[in-house]
Amino acid sequence: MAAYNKFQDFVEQLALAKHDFSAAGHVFKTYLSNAVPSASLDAVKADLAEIAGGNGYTAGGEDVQNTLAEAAGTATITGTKIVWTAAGGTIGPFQYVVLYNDTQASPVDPLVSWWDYAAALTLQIGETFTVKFNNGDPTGTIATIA
Amino acid sequence: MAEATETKLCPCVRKGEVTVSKADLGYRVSCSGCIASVTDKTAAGALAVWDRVSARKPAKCCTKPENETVFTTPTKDLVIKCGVCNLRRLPIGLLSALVRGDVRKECCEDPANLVPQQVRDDLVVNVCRVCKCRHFELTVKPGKLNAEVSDIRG
Repeated sequence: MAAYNKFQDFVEQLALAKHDFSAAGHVFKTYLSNAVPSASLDAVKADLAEIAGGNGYTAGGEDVQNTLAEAAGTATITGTKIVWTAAGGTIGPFQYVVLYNDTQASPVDPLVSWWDYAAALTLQIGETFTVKFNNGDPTGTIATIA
Repeated sequence: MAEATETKLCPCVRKGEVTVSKADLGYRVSCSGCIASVTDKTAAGALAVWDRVSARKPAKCCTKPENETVFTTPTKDLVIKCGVCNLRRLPIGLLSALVRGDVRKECCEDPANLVPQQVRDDLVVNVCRVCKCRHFELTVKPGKLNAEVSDIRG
Protein backbone atom coordinates (compact mmCIF):
# COMPACT_ATOMS: atom_id res chain seq x y z
CA MET A 1 0.00 0.00 0.00
CA ALA A 2 1.10 3.56 -0.62
CA ALA A 3 2.83 4.74 2.54
CA TYR A 4 1.32 7.31 4.88
CA ASN A 5 3.51 10.38 5.17
CA LYS A 6 2.96 12.77 8.07
CA PHE A 7 3.40 16.52 7.87
CA GLN A 8 5.45 17.31 10.95
CA ASP A 9 3.34 20.30 11.92
CA PHE A 10 0.27 18.04 12.16
CA VAL A 11 1.21 16.58 15.54
CA GLU A 12 1.65 20.05 17.01
CA GLN A 13 -1.73 21.17 15.68
CA LEU A 14 -3.26 17.96 17.02
CA ALA A 15 -1.89 18.69 20.48
CA LEU A 16 -3.16 22.25 20.20
CA ALA A 17 -6.68 20.90 19.65
CA LYS A 18 -6.86 22.23 16.11
CA HIS A 19 -8.23 18.99 14.64
CA ASP A 20 -11.56 17.32 15.31
CA PHE A 21 -11.85 14.10 13.31
CA SER A 22 -15.31 13.15 14.56
CA ALA A 23 -18.11 13.03 12.01
CA ALA A 24 -19.75 16.04 13.61
CA GLY A 25 -16.42 17.86 13.87
CA HIS A 26 -14.24 19.18 11.10
CA VAL A 27 -14.40 18.45 7.39
CA PHE A 28 -11.25 16.77 6.10
CA LYS A 29 -10.59 16.69 2.38
CA THR A 30 -8.10 15.15 0.00
CA TYR A 31 -6.72 17.07 -2.93
CA LEU A 32 -4.33 16.24 -5.75
CA SER A 33 -0.93 17.83 -6.14
CA ASN A 34 1.98 17.52 -8.50
CA ALA A 35 4.36 19.43 -6.22
CA VAL A 36 6.74 17.45 -4.03
CA PRO A 37 5.56 17.69 -0.40
CA SER A 38 7.93 18.63 2.38
CA ALA A 39 7.27 16.96 5.73
CA SER A 40 9.10 19.69 7.62
CA LEU A 41 8.29 22.83 5.60
CA ASP A 42 4.66 22.35 4.54
CA ALA A 43 2.13 23.14 7.25
CA VAL A 44 -0.99 24.49 5.54
CA LYS A 45 -2.66 23.83 2.20
CA ALA A 46 -1.32 27.06 0.72
CA ASP A 47 2.20 25.63 1.14
CA LEU A 48 1.58 22.76 -1.25
CA ALA A 49 0.14 23.59 -4.67
CA GLU A 50 -3.04 21.92 -5.81
CA ILE A 51 -3.72 21.00 -9.45
CA ALA A 52 -6.09 23.24 -11.38
CA GLY A 53 -9.80 22.68 -10.97
CA GLY A 54 -12.03 21.66 -13.88
CA ASN A 55 -12.81 18.63 -16.08
CA GLY A 56 -14.24 16.72 -13.11
CA TYR A 57 -11.77 17.89 -10.49
CA THR A 58 -13.15 20.35 -7.95
CA ALA A 59 -10.64 22.82 -6.55
CA GLY A 60 -10.24 22.17 -2.84
CA GLY A 61 -10.57 18.42 -3.24
CA GLU A 62 -13.15 15.97 -1.95
CA ASP A 63 -14.60 15.39 1.51
CA VAL A 64 -13.36 12.07 2.96
CA GLN A 65 -16.43 11.94 5.23
CA ASN A 66 -14.26 11.31 8.27
CA THR A 67 -15.46 9.52 11.37
CA LEU A 68 -13.77 8.77 14.68
CA ALA A 69 -14.26 5.81 17.02
CA GLU A 70 -12.39 4.64 20.10
CA ALA A 71 -12.03 1.08 21.35
CA ALA A 72 -9.64 -0.37 23.93
CA GLY A 73 -7.54 2.75 23.99
CA THR A 74 -7.12 3.09 20.23
CA ALA A 75 -8.82 5.85 18.29
CA THR A 76 -9.54 5.01 14.64
CA ILE A 77 -10.13 7.67 12.01
CA THR A 78 -11.98 6.38 8.97
CA GLY A 79 -12.82 7.83 5.60
CA THR A 80 -14.77 6.99 2.45
CA LYS A 81 -13.01 6.31 -0.84
CA ILE A 82 -12.64 9.18 -3.25
CA VAL A 83 -13.20 8.91 -7.00
CA TRP A 84 -12.20 11.50 -9.56
CA THR A 85 -13.34 11.15 -13.18
CA ALA A 86 -12.03 13.21 -16.06
CA ALA A 87 -14.94 14.66 -18.05
CA GLY A 88 -14.64 17.11 -20.91
CA GLY A 89 -10.85 17.24 -20.62
CA THR A 90 -7.89 15.85 -18.73
CA ILE A 91 -7.11 15.98 -15.00
CA GLY A 92 -3.54 16.42 -13.92
CA PRO A 93 -0.73 15.66 -14.07
CA PHE A 94 -0.63 14.84 -10.38
CA GLN A 95 1.37 12.49 -8.18
CA TYR A 96 0.35 13.15 -4.58
CA VAL A 97 -2.87 12.71 -2.64
CA VAL A 98 -2.96 15.16 0.25
CA LEU A 99 -5.21 15.17 3.32
CA TYR A 100 -6.00 18.43 5.11
CA ASN A 101 -8.46 20.01 7.52
CA ASP A 102 -10.83 22.17 5.48
CA THR A 103 -12.67 23.56 8.50
CA GLN A 104 -9.88 24.92 10.66
CA ALA A 105 -9.33 28.65 10.13
CA SER A 106 -6.40 29.21 12.49
CA PRO A 107 -4.16 28.10 10.91
CA VAL A 108 -6.07 28.03 7.63
CA ASP A 109 -6.43 24.53 6.18
CA PRO A 110 -3.70 22.73 8.14
CA LEU A 111 -2.16 19.72 6.41
CA VAL A 112 -2.36 16.23 7.88
CA SER A 113 -0.64 13.72 5.61
CA TRP A 114 0.05 12.69 2.04
CA TRP A 115 0.41 9.57 -0.09
CA ASP A 116 2.65 9.22 -3.12
CA TYR A 117 1.34 7.63 -6.34
CA ALA A 118 5.03 7.31 -7.31
CA ALA A 119 4.70 8.81 -10.80
CA ALA A 120 2.96 11.75 -12.42
CA LEU A 121 -0.43 10.70 -13.77
CA THR A 122 -2.81 12.44 -16.17
CA LEU A 123 -6.37 11.19 -16.45
CA GLN A 124 -7.75 11.21 -19.98
CA ILE A 125 -11.44 11.81 -20.64
CA GLY A 126 -13.55 9.09 -19.03
CA GLU A 127 -10.72 7.73 -16.88
CA THR A 128 -11.00 7.54 -13.11
CA PHE A 129 -8.66 7.72 -10.13
CA THR A 130 -9.84 6.11 -6.91
CA VAL A 131 -8.22 6.42 -3.51
CA LYS A 132 -9.18 3.67 -1.08
CA PHE A 133 -8.19 4.02 2.55
CA ASN A 134 -6.56 0.80 3.79
CA ASN A 135 -8.27 -1.04 0.90
CA GLY A 136 -11.67 -0.36 2.47
CA ASP A 137 -14.54 -0.18 0.01
CA PRO A 138 -16.11 2.22 0.45
CA THR A 139 -14.89 3.00 3.99
CA GLY A 140 -11.46 2.35 5.45
CA THR A 141 -8.99 3.47 8.08
CA ILE A 142 -7.12 6.72 7.50
CA ALA A 143 -5.12 6.60 10.72
CA THR A 144 -5.08 5.23 14.26
CA ILE A 145 -3.96 6.89 17.47
CA ALA A 146 -2.94 4.52 20.22
CA MET B 1 -19.45 48.17 -29.76
CA ALA B 2 -18.02 44.88 -28.67
CA GLU B 3 -18.78 41.90 -30.83
CA ALA B 4 -21.08 39.42 -29.15
CA THR B 5 -19.72 35.90 -28.82
CA GLU B 6 -22.00 32.91 -28.84
CA THR B 7 -21.44 30.11 -26.38
CA LYS B 8 -22.04 26.75 -28.00
CA LEU B 9 -24.03 24.36 -25.82
CA CYS B 10 -24.16 20.60 -26.11
CA PRO B 11 -27.61 19.07 -26.70
CA CYS B 12 -27.04 16.72 -23.74
CA VAL B 13 -29.25 16.84 -20.65
CA ARG B 14 -26.75 19.00 -18.80
CA LYS B 15 -26.49 21.53 -21.62
CA GLY B 16 -22.74 21.47 -21.10
CA GLU B 17 -20.58 24.16 -22.61
CA VAL B 18 -18.70 23.09 -25.71
CA THR B 19 -15.06 24.06 -25.52
CA VAL B 20 -12.00 23.69 -27.74
CA SER B 21 -8.74 22.51 -26.22
CA LYS B 22 -5.34 21.48 -27.54
CA ALA B 23 -4.98 17.72 -27.65
CA ASP B 24 -2.14 15.34 -28.51
CA LEU B 25 -3.38 14.87 -32.05
CA GLY B 26 -4.78 18.30 -32.87
CA TYR B 27 -7.70 20.10 -31.29
CA ARG B 28 -10.46 18.52 -29.25
CA VAL B 29 -13.97 19.89 -29.02
CA SER B 30 -15.72 18.49 -25.97
CA CYS B 31 -18.72 19.00 -23.74
CA SER B 32 -18.22 19.92 -20.09
CA GLY B 33 -21.36 18.00 -19.16
CA CYS B 34 -21.02 14.65 -20.93
CA ILE B 35 -18.34 12.55 -22.57
CA ALA B 36 -18.91 13.57 -26.19
CA SER B 37 -15.83 14.86 -27.99
CA VAL B 38 -14.34 15.13 -31.46
CA THR B 39 -10.76 15.81 -32.47
CA ASP B 40 -9.42 17.31 -35.67
CA LYS B 41 -6.17 18.82 -36.89
CA THR B 42 -7.52 22.36 -36.53
CA ALA B 43 -9.89 23.98 -34.06
CA ALA B 44 -12.17 25.12 -36.89
CA GLY B 45 -12.18 21.62 -38.34
CA ALA B 46 -13.05 20.07 -35.00
CA LEU B 47 -15.90 22.54 -34.51
CA ALA B 48 -17.22 21.78 -37.99
CA VAL B 49 -17.16 18.04 -37.30
CA TRP B 50 -18.87 18.62 -33.95
CA ASP B 51 -21.66 20.63 -35.58
CA ARG B 52 -22.16 18.04 -38.28
CA VAL B 53 -22.08 14.94 -36.08
CA SER B 54 -23.91 16.29 -33.05
CA ALA B 55 -26.83 17.32 -35.26
CA ARG B 56 -27.42 13.76 -36.42
CA LYS B 57 -30.70 12.27 -35.28
CA PRO B 58 -30.57 8.54 -34.60
CA ALA B 59 -33.11 6.38 -36.39
CA LYS B 60 -35.08 3.65 -34.66
CA CYS B 61 -32.48 1.05 -35.55
CA CYS B 62 -29.68 3.16 -34.04
CA THR B 63 -31.11 3.18 -30.55
CA LYS B 64 -31.48 -0.59 -30.20
CA PRO B 65 -28.66 -1.83 -27.96
CA GLU B 66 -28.11 -4.93 -30.11
CA ASN B 67 -27.31 -2.69 -33.09
CA GLU B 68 -24.93 -0.40 -31.24
CA THR B 69 -21.19 -0.72 -31.37
CA VAL B 70 -19.16 1.59 -29.21
CA PHE B 71 -15.59 2.20 -30.26
CA THR B 72 -12.78 4.62 -29.63
CA THR B 73 -11.20 6.50 -32.50
CA PRO B 74 -7.40 6.83 -32.81
CA THR B 75 -7.82 10.31 -31.33
CA LYS B 76 -9.52 8.77 -28.28
CA ASP B 77 -12.97 10.10 -29.06
CA LEU B 78 -15.85 7.76 -28.33
CA VAL B 79 -18.21 6.97 -31.21
CA ILE B 80 -21.41 4.92 -31.36
CA LYS B 81 -22.01 3.14 -34.64
CA CYS B 82 -25.27 1.55 -35.73
CA GLY B 83 -24.80 -1.90 -37.26
CA VAL B 84 -27.89 -1.53 -39.46
CA CYS B 85 -27.70 1.91 -41.05
CA ASN B 86 -24.02 2.56 -40.30
CA LEU B 87 -24.78 5.96 -38.74
CA ARG B 88 -21.98 7.18 -36.51
CA ARG B 89 -22.93 9.51 -33.69
CA LEU B 90 -21.46 11.03 -30.58
CA PRO B 91 -22.20 9.59 -27.13
CA ILE B 92 -24.02 12.78 -26.18
CA GLY B 93 -25.80 12.57 -22.88
CA LEU B 94 -24.32 9.26 -21.83
CA LEU B 95 -23.50 10.66 -18.42
CA SER B 96 -26.60 10.93 -16.32
CA ALA B 97 -25.27 10.56 -12.78
CA LEU B 98 -22.76 12.65 -10.96
CA VAL B 99 -21.98 10.99 -7.65
CA ARG B 100 -18.83 12.23 -5.96
CA GLY B 101 -17.16 12.64 -9.30
CA ASP B 102 -17.69 9.02 -10.34
CA VAL B 103 -19.16 9.63 -13.77
CA ARG B 104 -17.85 6.75 -15.83
CA LYS B 105 -18.88 5.97 -19.36
CA GLU B 106 -21.62 3.41 -19.65
CA CYS B 107 -19.26 0.81 -21.07
CA CYS B 108 -16.92 1.31 -18.10
CA GLU B 109 -19.76 0.87 -15.63
CA ASP B 110 -20.24 -2.74 -16.70
CA PRO B 111 -17.83 -4.83 -14.58
CA ALA B 112 -17.72 -7.42 -17.37
CA ASN B 113 -15.91 -4.88 -19.56
CA LEU B 114 -13.19 -4.13 -17.01
CA VAL B 115 -9.96 -6.08 -17.09
CA PRO B 116 -8.04 -5.66 -13.82
CA GLN B 117 -4.27 -5.33 -13.97
CA GLN B 118 -2.30 -5.46 -10.72
CA VAL B 119 0.43 -2.94 -11.50
CA ARG B 120 1.83 -2.74 -7.98
CA ASP B 121 0.76 -4.12 -4.64
CA ASP B 122 -1.01 -0.82 -3.96
CA LEU B 123 -2.28 -0.14 -7.47
CA VAL B 124 -4.87 -1.86 -9.64
CA VAL B 125 -5.71 -0.49 -13.07
CA ASN B 126 -8.99 -1.67 -14.57
CA VAL B 127 -8.90 -1.24 -18.34
CA CYS B 128 -12.19 -1.10 -20.23
CA ARG B 129 -12.34 -3.57 -23.14
CA VAL B 130 -14.64 -1.23 -25.09
CA CYS B 131 -13.10 2.22 -24.86
CA LYS B 132 -9.67 1.34 -23.39
CA CYS B 133 -10.16 3.82 -20.54
CA ARG B 134 -8.01 3.20 -17.48
CA HIS B 135 -9.48 3.21 -13.99
CA PHE B 136 -6.83 3.56 -11.32
CA GLU B 137 -7.39 2.28 -7.79
CA LEU B 138 -4.73 3.36 -5.32
CA THR B 139 -4.83 1.78 -1.88
CA VAL B 140 -3.29 3.97 0.79
CA LYS B 141 -1.84 2.80 4.06
CA PRO B 142 -3.26 4.18 7.31
CA GLY B 143 -1.09 6.27 9.59
CA LYS B 144 -0.23 5.14 13.10
CA LEU B 145 0.14 7.87 15.67
CA ASN B 146 1.67 6.73 18.91
CA ALA B 147 0.50 8.55 22.01
CA GLU B 148 1.30 5.84 24.52
CA VAL B 149 2.80 6.67 27.88
CA SER B 150 4.65 3.60 29.04
CA ASP B 151 6.29 4.86 32.18
CA ILE B 152 4.31 7.20 34.43
CA ARG B 153 5.85 7.93 37.81
CA GLY B 154 4.49 10.11 40.56
